[in-house]
Amino acid sequence: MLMEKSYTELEIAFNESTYDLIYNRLYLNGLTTILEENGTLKVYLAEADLPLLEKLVNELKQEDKIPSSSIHTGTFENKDWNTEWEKTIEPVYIHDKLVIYPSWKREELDLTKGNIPIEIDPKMSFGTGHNETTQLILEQMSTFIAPEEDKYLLDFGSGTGILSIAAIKLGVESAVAIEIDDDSLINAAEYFELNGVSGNVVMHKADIAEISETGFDIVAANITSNVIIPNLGNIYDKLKSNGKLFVTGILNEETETLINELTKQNFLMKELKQRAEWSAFYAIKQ
Amino acid sequence: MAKKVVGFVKLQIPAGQATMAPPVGPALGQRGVNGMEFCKQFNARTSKDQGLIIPVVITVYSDKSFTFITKTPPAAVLLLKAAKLDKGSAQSNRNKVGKVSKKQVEDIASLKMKDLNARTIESAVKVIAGTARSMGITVEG
Repeated sequence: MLMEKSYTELEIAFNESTYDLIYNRLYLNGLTTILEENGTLKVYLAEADLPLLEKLVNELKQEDKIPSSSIHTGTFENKDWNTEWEKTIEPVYIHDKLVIYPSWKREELDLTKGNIPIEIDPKMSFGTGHNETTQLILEQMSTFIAPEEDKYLLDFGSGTGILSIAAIKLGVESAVAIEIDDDSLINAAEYFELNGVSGNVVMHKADIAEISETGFDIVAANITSNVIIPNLGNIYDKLKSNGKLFVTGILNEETETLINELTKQNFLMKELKQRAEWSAFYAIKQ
Repeated sequence: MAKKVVGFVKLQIPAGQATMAPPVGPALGQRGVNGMEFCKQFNARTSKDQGLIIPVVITVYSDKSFTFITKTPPAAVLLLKAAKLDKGSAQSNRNKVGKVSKKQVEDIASLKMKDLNARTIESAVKVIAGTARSMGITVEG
């Protein structure tokens, strides 16, 4: 189907008493794809539908409850919105060690800095590299993971699986990725395949307390404090002695609380990093 | 993963028929959401509801990922379906175009209960009956 170059935008301001009335009128005229934005309902009519516009506007104006001043029409220039969106996604470089990029930037990637490439197209799971939390934890992992001693990673709340992918590409031999969100599990399987690490990662739809694997050299978790803090005991049990813990997703104002909880659980804090409102922690199991 | 919400997009879309044409494409593209992926997911999840209009709320996160939840179809759509009508009345006070039973209104109210502001099923029934009247549909019984 050819893409329409322009549409007529019909915008109607609503309040609680007119919402259903306007919606019903739109629906009864066959306009069924509707955007609700800033107190208005918006529909878009292609050129072929324009005879409908006058009829619809007249009907709306005849409704006592809908003031004429709340109805506006205008021209809306259409674009290839997927291409527009793709333009907004730039590669993210982590410490000159890793580069996370979308598939459509593959050809123009600058790998002259020796970056390890990780390909992720933003979809329905968190962990695309575009949030400070992911950047902070990847910076710490790429600094402190030592492939000669760190062989086995637990990715707790794996999202896209970006932490598992990065760890394997940094030299870790194998990973267990755990996640409770179905969309994320589907996305992660796709990204593991795309990045050539499927054979190194086992995925579970499970919470940390439910998995049987143990003896990890590293636990990496980008989750919120309400999940991390109650599970610090489980994390401690899953790690080998002197195992490394990388945690982020913690707000700056929660830093002191998390450090206290880590100390209580016999972790030794090694590094705190902060960016925007987020904190990331690197600690060792004692 | 630690998610930070940066916005919401509210749309109503026919089940299984989301496309990148306005308003879906621009509404999502301008907020950094992968619109093609949304259309694919929405169409897959609503394909069993063909013929209904599905309200959807898309949550946009700071790292350009998104999730969405679908809500129950609008009362008008369910009433037309119950009354076996294609459309309501342009002059609902004078032209009655169809009828639904009280039981049908109660069933619609039960389905819509979680998405309405109504606190009790009785008040939800009143809301649905009011919508029916505004469409020229008589509630019998």
